[in-house]
Amino acid sequence: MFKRKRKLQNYTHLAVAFHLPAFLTLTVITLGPLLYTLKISFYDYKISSSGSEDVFVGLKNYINMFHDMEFVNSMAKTFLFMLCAVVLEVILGVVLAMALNSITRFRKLFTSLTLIPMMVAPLIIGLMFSFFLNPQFGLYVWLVDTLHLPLPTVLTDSPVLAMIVVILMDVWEWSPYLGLVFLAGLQSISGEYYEAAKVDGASSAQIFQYVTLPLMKPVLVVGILLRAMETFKEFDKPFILTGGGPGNATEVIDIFTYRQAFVSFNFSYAAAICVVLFIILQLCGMMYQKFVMGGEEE
Amino acid sequence: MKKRTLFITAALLTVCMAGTCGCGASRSEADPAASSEPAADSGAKRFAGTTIYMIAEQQTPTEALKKQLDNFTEETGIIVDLEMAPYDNVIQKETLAFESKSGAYDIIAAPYQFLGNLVENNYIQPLDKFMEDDSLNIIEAYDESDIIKGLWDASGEWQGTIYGVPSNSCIGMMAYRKDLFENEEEKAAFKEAYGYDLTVPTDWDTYYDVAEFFTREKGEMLAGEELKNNFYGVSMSGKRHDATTCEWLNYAWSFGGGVFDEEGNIAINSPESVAALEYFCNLTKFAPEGIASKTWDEQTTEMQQGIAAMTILFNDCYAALEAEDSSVIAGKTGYGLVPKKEADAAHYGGWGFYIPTDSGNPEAAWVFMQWFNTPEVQKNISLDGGFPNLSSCYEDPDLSGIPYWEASKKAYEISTTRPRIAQWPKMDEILMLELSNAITGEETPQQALDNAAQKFTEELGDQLPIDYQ
Amino acid sequence: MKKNKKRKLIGIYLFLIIFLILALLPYFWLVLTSFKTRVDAFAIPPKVFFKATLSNYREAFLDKGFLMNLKNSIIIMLATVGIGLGLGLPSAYAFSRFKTGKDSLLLNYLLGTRFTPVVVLALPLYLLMSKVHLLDSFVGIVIAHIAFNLPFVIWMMKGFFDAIPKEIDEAARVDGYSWFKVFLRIDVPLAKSGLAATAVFCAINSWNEFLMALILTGRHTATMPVGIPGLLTPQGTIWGQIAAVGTIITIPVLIFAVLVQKHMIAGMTMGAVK
Repeated sequence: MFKRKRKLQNYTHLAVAFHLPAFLTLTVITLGPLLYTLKISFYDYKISSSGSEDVFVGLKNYINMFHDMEFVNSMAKTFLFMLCAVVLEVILGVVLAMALNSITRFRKLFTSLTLIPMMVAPLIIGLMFSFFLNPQFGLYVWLVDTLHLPLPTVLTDSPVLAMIVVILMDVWEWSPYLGLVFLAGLQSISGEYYEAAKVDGASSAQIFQYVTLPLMKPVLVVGILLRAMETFKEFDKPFILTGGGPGNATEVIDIFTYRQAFVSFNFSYAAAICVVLFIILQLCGMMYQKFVMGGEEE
Repeated sequence: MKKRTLFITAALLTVCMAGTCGCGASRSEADPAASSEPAADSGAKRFAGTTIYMIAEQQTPTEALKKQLDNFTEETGIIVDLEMAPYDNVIQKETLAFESKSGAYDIIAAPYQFLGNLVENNYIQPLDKFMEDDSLNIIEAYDESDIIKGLWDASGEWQGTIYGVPSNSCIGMMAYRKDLFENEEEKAAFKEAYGYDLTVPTDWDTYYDVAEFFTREKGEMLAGEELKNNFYGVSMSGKRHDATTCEWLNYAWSFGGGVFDEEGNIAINSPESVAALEYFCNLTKFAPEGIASKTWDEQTTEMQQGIAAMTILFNDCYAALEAEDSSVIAGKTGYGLVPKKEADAAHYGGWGFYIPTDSGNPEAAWVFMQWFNTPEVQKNISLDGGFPNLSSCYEDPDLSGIPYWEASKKAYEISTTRPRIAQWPKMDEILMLELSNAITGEETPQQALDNAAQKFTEELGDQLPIDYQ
Repeated sequence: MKKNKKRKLIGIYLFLIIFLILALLPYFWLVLTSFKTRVDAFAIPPKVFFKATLSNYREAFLDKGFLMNLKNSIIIMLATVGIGLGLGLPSAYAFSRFKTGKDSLLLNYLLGTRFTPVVVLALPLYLLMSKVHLLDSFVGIVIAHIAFNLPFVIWMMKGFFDAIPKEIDEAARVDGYSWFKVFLRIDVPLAKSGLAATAVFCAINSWNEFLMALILTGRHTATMPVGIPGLLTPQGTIWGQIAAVGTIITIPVLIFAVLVQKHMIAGMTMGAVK
């Protein structure tokens, strides 16, 4: 203990020197702007009214948020999106990981190809799907028609279907990713556990439930938390595909904020929303970090 | 100063860009014709070497303008740095530039519906002082009186002061499949089914009947041929987008409704407006599926692919229907006016060029605006699919052969304009959402427009009634 | 028993193949579309065999100026990676080697930045950049991209430095190397495969990024993703060219991704899963 403390002191000036460039930069280019956001969220920084002198309005922007049905709606939509997308991605991810883990031939090829969806720029994904799903000229409609699949052909007219498409688009992009994360987790489980379980006569379902799942738990939690936080950043794909519509059925919080800031130019209201979003994500981030750091100490 | 730095950075980094500009400038300086001009500070070249920064919508007429910019540089020595952005981003970029007082642009293009907003926020400056200054009127071919007054008033004049000149002008019109309307079998079938002759619709009841008549399933016959795909009576916009507002306003005005009534009170939920929206929503039955994702962009494509019989759309999209390499209906299309009920309706959707208050080169910008409204420039734009701002162009025999020309001329005579008040951009956002809700059946037309009316009232407050728009 | 196992294996392969078809079909279709004329692109039934044309590539990159967007994207990407690594490596090294009591606080701060929605930073960055006249400049957009990538570099590289045995450092220290020299001459070269993976990640993040670039770049600095909405015109969406640009944007990313596949997961979980 004593020795360790001396070591810490020794390194302090080195640590400062090595950290300084990065943290100085980050402070200037992220903390600064974030504090600026905090500041304007307390002001009436309205630009479309003439002669805009910033007026201090206290918590008005924050209070407005809770009276604004569109804000409440987009928050609800975001959570709905998050819940559905993450659950589907985790299930598919686990299945994919187990499948990849149980094959030996072509595993490398399969993993390489699995990478493709998450590497395509989200903007391109949105465009790709809108072309693919075009109700008149899209490949999807043709497939449904020709193969007589019991699926709806027009997906963007109904609020529910549009939301499902937005969710599936995310699932398309990210479940391969979770699959690979979980695969890494599966591979780190020592074969001894399985042998011991087999010796005890456990069925494969039991092995999954009592051996695989508990040992996978850390990786699962990491995957879930990461995706949950990332879904708060959802913007490009629905922005291009549905533009938040029909109505505001798929208007997730980032699109709503973008609209407030860069279409309606309600900068201070948008800033207040940003602050709230930031706080939510900081809480998630803390959970994540606790988990990652906790894992490290073991 | 700042602009200069920007330009230098850009020139260093974008080699090809700098190449073009450099060429343009040196060519005009070396041009022997230039030396015969009077002294540099009074002739057409008095602003030689100046660069003006400009932003406009990325679309056909702007592309047509871009092709001609070298001519302008040759004539005046002024270099135009033209930025093009998609419709949704143009206003965004401009407003952000104004708000941050960056002085980024010397000329901006904006749809005239933003005029009130631009003026009341003091973003743009009046043009009178330039127009009255003879030393600035250096473009010989420019004739102020040639500009069509209606267009100029709509896109440039606010409360008696001129703030801009018309840039791209376009107007709501109907396009229809001439070949189908002329088909004898179809004519006979229509007569049998509806009891009157198949004609190009001039009223909404006929429009509805014809739309219904031409809507066919895959496998049925159309004009003697078996359909490989579904065919639709109409093509429409229904996305939460300006395209939907723009299309629907044609219907609303024609029905006798609109945003405001004669007295300037809110009429968006008047019985006439509601009837127009009910009609619009009913009509979507005969439009290709997926209405909630459609804008003018999809309407153009659906017509080009030959899957719809009629549409109501801005006429600057119609050149695309006549393009042989991308349209299967080139040469088969007829053009007419929006059907009429209570009133004539032809939605004027023009843009204007404006000079920002923080522009560093307003005089050179004004010179550009003169050049832009000269017959040759306007004619070239029209040949590429745009529409001229000049009366003389409408008399030009080279242009009268364009298929949609005659109908366009008639439409401009009866044009109707959207509100231009400062609050309109916000009201438009509200209207887009409510129209979208009605079209997808989330709300009834009555509910949707009542909601819109209520939000309009909140937005306008004690400024009602609106006595100037 | 054995037969049963074989059948199960076939089932697994079948599942994987179906999964891959679903995962690759939309992208495959995009690439195919990029070689079609406008009429072919919208043809029903869809054409799998058609007369291929390069006109979309030619028009987008030569006539519409996407070559310039491509160049901008490359400049911004290289600058982001270079500066990001330059600033981030020492810090990552310090987290790995010079532990202090404040580490967890600092790491938390980094994570916070990493998980901040783009739109939250886009708003103030826009307003501030406009005040210092950095809109439509490479400096402005590179700063924004660094803001997102720096935390990422540090987290990822920390993991790779952790994997290098500390004994090596100590041996070098005994030989009289300064810490800076140990870091630069010994540990950075040892972590080079991780370094490559980190660089690729940063590159991809910057390359694919849309919202920041949309707001902060302009005519002279617009990246490829920002140029794309310009192809959605009121006169019809130019799908062929969108597909062409989309294909070009994606191909380098895919090549790089396959090259550093091994470190992919570590990167995307910010070092939580190795």
